[in-house]
Amino acid sequence: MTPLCLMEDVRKTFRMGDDAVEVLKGIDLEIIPGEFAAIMGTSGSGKSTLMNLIGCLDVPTSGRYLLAGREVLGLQDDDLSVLRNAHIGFVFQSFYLLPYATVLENVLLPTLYRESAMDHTEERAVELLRLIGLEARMHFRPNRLSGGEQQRVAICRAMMNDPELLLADEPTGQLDSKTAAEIMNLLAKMNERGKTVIVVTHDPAIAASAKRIIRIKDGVIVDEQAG
Amino acid sequence: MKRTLLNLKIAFGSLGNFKLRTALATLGVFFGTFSLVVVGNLSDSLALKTEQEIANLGNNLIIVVSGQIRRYGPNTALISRATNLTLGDAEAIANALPATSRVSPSGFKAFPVRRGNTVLKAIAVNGVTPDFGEVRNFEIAEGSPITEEDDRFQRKVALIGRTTAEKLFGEENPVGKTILIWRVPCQIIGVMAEKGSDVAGNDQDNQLFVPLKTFLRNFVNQENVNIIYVQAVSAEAIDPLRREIEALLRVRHGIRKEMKDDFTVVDLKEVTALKSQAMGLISVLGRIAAAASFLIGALGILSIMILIVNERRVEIGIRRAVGSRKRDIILQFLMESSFISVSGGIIGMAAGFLMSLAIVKVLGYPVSVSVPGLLLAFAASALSGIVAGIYPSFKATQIHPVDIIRS
Ligand SMILES: Nc1ncnc2c1ncn2[C@@H]1O[C@H](COP(=O)(O)OP(=O)(O)O)[C@@H](O)[C@H]1O
Ligand SMILES: [Mg+2]
Repeated sequence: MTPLCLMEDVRKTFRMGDDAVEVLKGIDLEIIPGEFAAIMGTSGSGKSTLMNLIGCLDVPTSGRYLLAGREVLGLQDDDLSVLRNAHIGFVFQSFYLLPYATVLENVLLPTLYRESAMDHTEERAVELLRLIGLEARMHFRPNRLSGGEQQRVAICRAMMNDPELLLADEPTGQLDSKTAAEIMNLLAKMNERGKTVIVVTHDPAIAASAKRIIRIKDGVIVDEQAG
Repeated sequence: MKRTLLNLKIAFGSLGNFKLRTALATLGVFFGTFSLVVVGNLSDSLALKTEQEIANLGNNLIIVVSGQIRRYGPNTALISRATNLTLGDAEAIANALPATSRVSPSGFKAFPVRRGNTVLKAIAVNGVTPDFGEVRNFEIAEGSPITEEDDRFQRKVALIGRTTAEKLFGEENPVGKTILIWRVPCQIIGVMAEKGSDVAGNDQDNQLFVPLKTFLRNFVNQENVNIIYVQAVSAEAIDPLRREIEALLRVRHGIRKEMKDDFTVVDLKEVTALKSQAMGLISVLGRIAAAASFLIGALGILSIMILIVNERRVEIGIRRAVGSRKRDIILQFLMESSFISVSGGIIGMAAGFLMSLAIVKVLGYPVSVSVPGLLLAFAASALSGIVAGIYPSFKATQIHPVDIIRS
């Protein structure tokens, strides 16, 4: 099967003034469609940096990265936007819902930037909200929802454009363990529906939901195991 | 469309945090469109008023007065006490110059008028030919006009203006009654339709009209007239005809090259020029004030937009993450800034519109709406919003999603 993500010797160096810090030091990684993987590592090990590269929010300093068969290195900013919009859904630790938009409007946000129009856009968004049990509150502002509910809305937003890849960076970092388990269940459900899911976490209990665990330390992958 | 609506809604939510600043910023644009619309509508009204005044004097009218009018001004009297013009001059103009359609010589002098115990000290009495009404756009409301026979037989008949009629007769119908003009008893045969004031501001309804020959024989006892009204065949014919009349009269009056004319062919456009000049000055001042207001408004919107972009860094980062391109962000914030300015601008246009209506009403000018003025105001308000939004929206594109997620 052709991999969804293929990284070969990917390096990322951050330049801060005169200092250059190499955060990723040669990553080789293959993610095939339908996987549910967890990226684990201690704080500062480079998990988020790797996640941002996988999600095309940033580009490697060197190496090769193919997303859905396309070389990412050398793409223009606009091309990266289009790529993200079509192929990737993001879930962040701090939810990041727009405070002045309703729950439904937040879910619809990625559709505003689609290259091709989508049929039944609004029905789709409502359907997603029904799936997470927040249909009744779709016209609420996000600040009236609990943290767990907001994160579920964020997952709907990530799902809205029907991307192949769902990326979640510490999605449960601000939630209690019970709510965290619910969120992981939801991500597992999305994986069952055919989405490739990658979760970044430092919590072994969370990583346990995944089918594959990728350990990263000091910018290199140190260990891989099936979950 | 949906995207625009949603974006505007989000913008509104965020503007809610800066209500006072937003209001102050829009105030500049408000005053900008306000003054543009007021100035535009007022100058249009004035132009229309001037046009009406000139048309009111008579269609394609040329006025030749005896003597020199030294200075044109807002109160230039288009009548003269000098009497250098003759009936022969009038006939010569009519016969020699084909661009004339009608010629109406006229005498003028103020006389006391009496009816019973009511005495009016000085009423303008005009000696006129039957053509006068046509040439000067005077109409008769009641009764009958002065005829060729009235003139030829020097009948002692008179047409009376509305104001004079009211003074002498009150509610009574003056037609058929006799009044004493100076010491000549005249029978009133008609009442003139109301005409209002002329370019010089004189009440044209406070006067009397008698046949020209009656006037020359019985009132002033002379052959010459004060004024010759000439109607040109068309508006285009006016200017060349004025020059022909000047040349003709100089020859007839034996005026040599270096000598001054003893008559004046009045340029009606010049008579109204002073008023237009004053309005021109007001227009310029208004436009300068508008430009300053737009500048202040644009600066206000610029500062608001910088605040807004800062407040919404996370939103921008998230939009970028879910796939908005830089140009989408630029477009979004340009829309927001121009929306702010256009809102202020439209309110200013409406206020300016009402204001110009009020001013025009007070001045008694005709209502006129300057469409170019409205368009200019709208365009200027949109433009100041767009210009104000350029820097903040480019600032917004500098926000990178990775930086947002990291903080
Ligand atoms: N944009 C950046 N500029 C400079 N240093 C960065 C940047 N992003 C990450 N880093 C550094 O890279 C290291 C790894 O960061 P990160 O990938 O966020 O780790 P993790 O998510 O595993 O905690 C940290 O030392 C961090 O300070
Ligand atoms: Mg991290």
